[in-house]
Amino acid sequence: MTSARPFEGTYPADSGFWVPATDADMYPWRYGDLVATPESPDRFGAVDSKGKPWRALMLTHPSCELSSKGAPGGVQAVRVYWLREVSQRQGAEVVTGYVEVDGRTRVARAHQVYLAPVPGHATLGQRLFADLRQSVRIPGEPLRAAGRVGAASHDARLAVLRRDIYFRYRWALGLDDVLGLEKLRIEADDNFTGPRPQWTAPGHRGDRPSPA
Amino acid sequence: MVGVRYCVHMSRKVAGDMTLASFAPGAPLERIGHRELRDKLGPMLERISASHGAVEVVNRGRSEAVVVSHDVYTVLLASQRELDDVRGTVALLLAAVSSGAAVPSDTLDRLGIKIPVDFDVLQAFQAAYPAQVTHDEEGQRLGRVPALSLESHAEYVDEPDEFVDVEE
Repeated sequence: MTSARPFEGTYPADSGFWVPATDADMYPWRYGDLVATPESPDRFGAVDSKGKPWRALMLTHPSCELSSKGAPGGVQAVRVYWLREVSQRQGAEVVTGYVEVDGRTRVARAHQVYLAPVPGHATLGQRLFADLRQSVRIPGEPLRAAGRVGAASHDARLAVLRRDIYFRYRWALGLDDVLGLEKLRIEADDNFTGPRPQWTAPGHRGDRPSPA
Repeated sequence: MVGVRYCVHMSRKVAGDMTLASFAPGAPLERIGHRELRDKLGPMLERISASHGAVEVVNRGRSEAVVVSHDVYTVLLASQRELDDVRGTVALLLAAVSSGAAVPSDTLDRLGIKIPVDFDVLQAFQAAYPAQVTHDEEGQRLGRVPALSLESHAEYVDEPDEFVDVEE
């Protein structure tokens, strides 16, 4: 039997964040994947205030495999930054997702999602973060042409989902809760393609949410 | 005049100067016997409530209970929870310091404990350490998430929208 939780903190270790490039083709494009900024990004609003293209995009919708189901008007994605674009203090808060203040551990930077470096990538092989507040919708074709840079591991997707749920609804779900929900979703999806997470394997203990 | 504030944990009014400081460990409490308590129950409860105090109930010289005002009880519960928070946070900070992980912390900053920021170390630490995040960004306690009842359903397959013409 495997352990119930794939990681203990806010995010998995860097080494487990992205699917190895050699295996990525087995994984369809999904929520949480890192995609290069397409050509002419100004057409989609994927530029900063000075008109410079965003560093990259993280996919946020559809939540399942892209193009397997109808999605009006393309794909939703959010802006990705280099972590070194913010102060060290903010960078530390993004990496942990929490901060200690007055003896209490608080949520920090709820709208920002840490993303590990993409091994071997020229510009994205460094620590990154996505800003859930800055979203765009882009047709699938230019996104496909731009290419996927990193396929999020199933474990990383748990972390992104958990962060996104808190950002949108302020539901402070535990990792076990998100894992249980995602496990059920995958098991109920007859069209699920690609390798399944190990926590969907029979006998895995992560099949029930933690008590409140 | 005693100010009134709201205890954020219990949503109850508590006296502004209500603390547990007056309940020093080992300090003697006012004592009352069973019979006396029964005979004076109403006035006694009013007095305990008004004084935010506590009275020890004894039976044949043996202490059986302590009656406290609701305010005191509320503060006791809140204090226990805050103690749990602090205990968890102290454990987190100790683990961070011993690992050399620069966890963002106002307390460490105030204590002058400077840990050089090494994102490799910090990221590995956060992935492995089960920090209990208890408060939101503004410092309010996070609400408890009820136990989820999960049911498995076949995934809904999106059908194309079928719009119809409507009169303006």
